[in-house]
Amino acid sequence: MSFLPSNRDSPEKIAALDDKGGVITYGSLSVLLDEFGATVPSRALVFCLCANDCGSLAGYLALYESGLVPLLLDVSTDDTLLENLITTYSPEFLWCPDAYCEKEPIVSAFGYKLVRLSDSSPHMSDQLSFLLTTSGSTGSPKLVRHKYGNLEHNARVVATTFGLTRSERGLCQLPMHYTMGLNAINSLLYAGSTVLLSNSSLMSKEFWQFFKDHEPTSFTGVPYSYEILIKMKLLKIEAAHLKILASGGGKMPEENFKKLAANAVETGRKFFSTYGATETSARMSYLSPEKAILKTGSIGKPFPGGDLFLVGPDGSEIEAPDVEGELIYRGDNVTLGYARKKEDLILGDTFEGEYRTGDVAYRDKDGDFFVVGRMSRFLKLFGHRVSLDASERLVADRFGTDCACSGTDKKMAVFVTNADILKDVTKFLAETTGLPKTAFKAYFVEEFVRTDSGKINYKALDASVIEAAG
Amino acid sequence: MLQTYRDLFCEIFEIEEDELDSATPDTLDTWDSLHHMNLIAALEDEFDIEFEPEDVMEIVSFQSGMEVLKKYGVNF
Repeated sequence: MSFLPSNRDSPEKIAALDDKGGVITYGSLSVLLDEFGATVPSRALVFCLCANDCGSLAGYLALYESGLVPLLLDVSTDDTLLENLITTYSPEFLWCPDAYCEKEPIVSAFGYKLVRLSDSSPHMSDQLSFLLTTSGSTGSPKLVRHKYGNLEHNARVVATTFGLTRSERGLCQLPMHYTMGLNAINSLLYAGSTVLLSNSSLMSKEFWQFFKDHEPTSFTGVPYSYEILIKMKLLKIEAAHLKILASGGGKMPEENFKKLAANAVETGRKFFSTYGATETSARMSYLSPEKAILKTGSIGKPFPGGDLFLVGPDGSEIEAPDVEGELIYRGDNVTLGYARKKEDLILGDTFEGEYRTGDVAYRDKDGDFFVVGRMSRFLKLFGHRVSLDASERLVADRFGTDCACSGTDKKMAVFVTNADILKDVTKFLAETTGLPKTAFKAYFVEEFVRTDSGKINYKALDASVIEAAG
Repeated sequence: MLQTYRDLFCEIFEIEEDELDSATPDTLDTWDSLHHMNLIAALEDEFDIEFEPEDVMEIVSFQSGMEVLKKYGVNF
């Protein structure tokens, strides 16, 4: 299986270009694939350090297509974390920028090289094709195990549904080691389009120069990307070339959703509100663009070949409209399961084609879904999934205090029983998660109100925040 | 005004005063788009202004931020 268009009749066509001047044609990509196929052993585990540039893209594609199992990681991954991942999974190879290490290259392309890290790879299931970290969980070595066909399936349905063609120029600024960023790239390649890889901040001159120079026809972002783009007046500037805006990776504030939907009506653009997860090799559902103006916040219906349904607390399927339940997905893009250590790479299909999203949702009478909250205790701060339970443990361990975390996707409320550490707690959580300090607010409580079963009463805590806010 | 600006910068990027002069997206790990957006929002709030996109792009150091603010009538 392959992402690349089967008709290789136009080798000169540009597959990708990046904001450092790198260019890959479909022809050169296919030559590279052949070279890698002849040089590197298949079925080896390889860590790929990624930025959004031609070298990262070429390496990932060539290694994947040669039958190796890549784990994509941010090139700026903290050294300690990378060491930890290498110890946990024992990869045989590393794909990295030339200057990253002194090791002798086995193959190289576009300023990147493949180097050997160990003599052999861990035992891996024949089904295992690809690995990603679970989105946003910083510091965790937990990986999502993909099977052959997952990435291809999602690339195909998204390309088809969005109507991507060879004349598309898709601007990819979301990191390629993030499931939706990768899916945006794969869908464009599947359609034989041109991928515009940007590694620059949406608030930088470099990004906007790249935007002007290459006149993208589509853009994919998380809700926070659109928060910035709206601030940067994307919806006000003249950009007739931009035909598709797609979002996913968290719930967009209603106000921004409405602005994007209204802008689409004014300009004839299509705004796709999509819903996805790393566990489903990116996207599960999308809202038909013509409904965006009518159904603020909806994630619509599943992509072709997928099935979304709701299950009530008793485990029975909910068929009626407007009744909330846990959102569950079935489809060919559901991955195999998780890995926490190298021994897990041999595991088979633990998800068995079904992924419980942990999101609570309902469907309207037309069958369009709306997510209303989550079953488990996570927040999505700036688009990053942050576990409340893990945050509690981190703070408790670091400061030797009792800790309870709650809050909203805007701000985590952190309750501790020591009044002297409030500032240190927010600083610590900001450092640990890599998020701004403003994403956290610490509160002092003398003691926690507990439920009859001895669990912390979060409702009482939330009430005390509202009270404190006056 | 200068002190308010300095404090705000230190607070957002979690740095000390002596690091201010060399603060840029390249020198600070904390200067990513989340923090940049936070800085913009904080400056707009503090000085009761609204930046144009071109000015948001210009703010790439402690010094350039000050230059941009002067354009909006903030006196240091």
